[in-house]
Amino acid sequence: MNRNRLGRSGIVVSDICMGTMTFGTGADEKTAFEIMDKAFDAGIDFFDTAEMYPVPPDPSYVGRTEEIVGRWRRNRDAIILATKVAGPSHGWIRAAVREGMTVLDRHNIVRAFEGSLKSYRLTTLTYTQTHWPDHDMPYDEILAALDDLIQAGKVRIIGCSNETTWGLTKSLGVSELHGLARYPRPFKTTTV
Amino acid sequence: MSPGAGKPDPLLSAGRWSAVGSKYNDGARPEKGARFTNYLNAEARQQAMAQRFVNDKSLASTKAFMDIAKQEGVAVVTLATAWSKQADFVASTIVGATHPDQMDDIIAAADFTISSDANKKIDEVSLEHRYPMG
Repeated sequence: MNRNRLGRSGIVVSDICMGTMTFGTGADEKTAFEIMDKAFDAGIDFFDTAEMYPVPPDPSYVGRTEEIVGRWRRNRDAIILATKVAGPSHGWIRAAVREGMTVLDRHNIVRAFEGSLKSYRLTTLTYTQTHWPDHDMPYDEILAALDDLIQAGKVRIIGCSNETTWGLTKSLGVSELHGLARYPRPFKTTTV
Repeated sequence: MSPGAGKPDPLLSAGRWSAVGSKYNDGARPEKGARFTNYLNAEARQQAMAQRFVNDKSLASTKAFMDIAKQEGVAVVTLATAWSKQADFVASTIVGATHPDQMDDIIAAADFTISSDANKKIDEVSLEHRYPMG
């Protein structure tokens, strides 16, 4: 299993990342534990989750994936956990959290992240990402809120998911302009 | 997509690999717990999303990938995972499973490198079946 650095951050992860979006629906807790054990024993140390999982998203079981991963007994320092903040997704999906009223403003970013910490029963996570972009929100507020989580020592790196080319380059520009944390560079450096 | 965790190649869509377990070939819709069977039977939005992954084009390209995988001596899931992680702009390839047995073919990709010949054939499949996800 190769290991790669995420951009120029201090985070180095396994070449393969365990996705968890079916943990709590397609896979029950016991099965999820078996999957994660197998993954970890094979050298996978990077686990991707989101506050909205499992899928298909539903308010009745939202957050269950992060609770399951939180209950999975493994050395916390040996695992790199990534979570995601659910935004409005431009109407594609009604978020199963915060009555679907979530947007990527400071208020929701903070509530989402604190909610994930609570589900995991942890005080810090490695990586948080926006789950979908919010092109109606000023990017300086989004990135400032994410940067504040880093400054507070609650998360180490930030990222984005399902972003467009426009949104990604806009984010990088805003980060540079305001001296804020930026999303990782995509070119990997392979380390052993 | 997560920077470093996806593949924004305009010709090859990572999504085409997701039906690549080949369970959905030839109109099969496996009953027990197959994720896209559920999606295809769900409400309109889920169906619309599922049809991007399970359609004639994606299934045709899946069949072609299965042939290439056979020639390379690996499972098609192994080929798919290896294909994603070989790109220099992909820092980590996200995989999923609903059963531990599914992890075997995925983990096999850690030790597998796709030959340049197979990569050429994979590119040809993309040229033949363009934009299967629409």
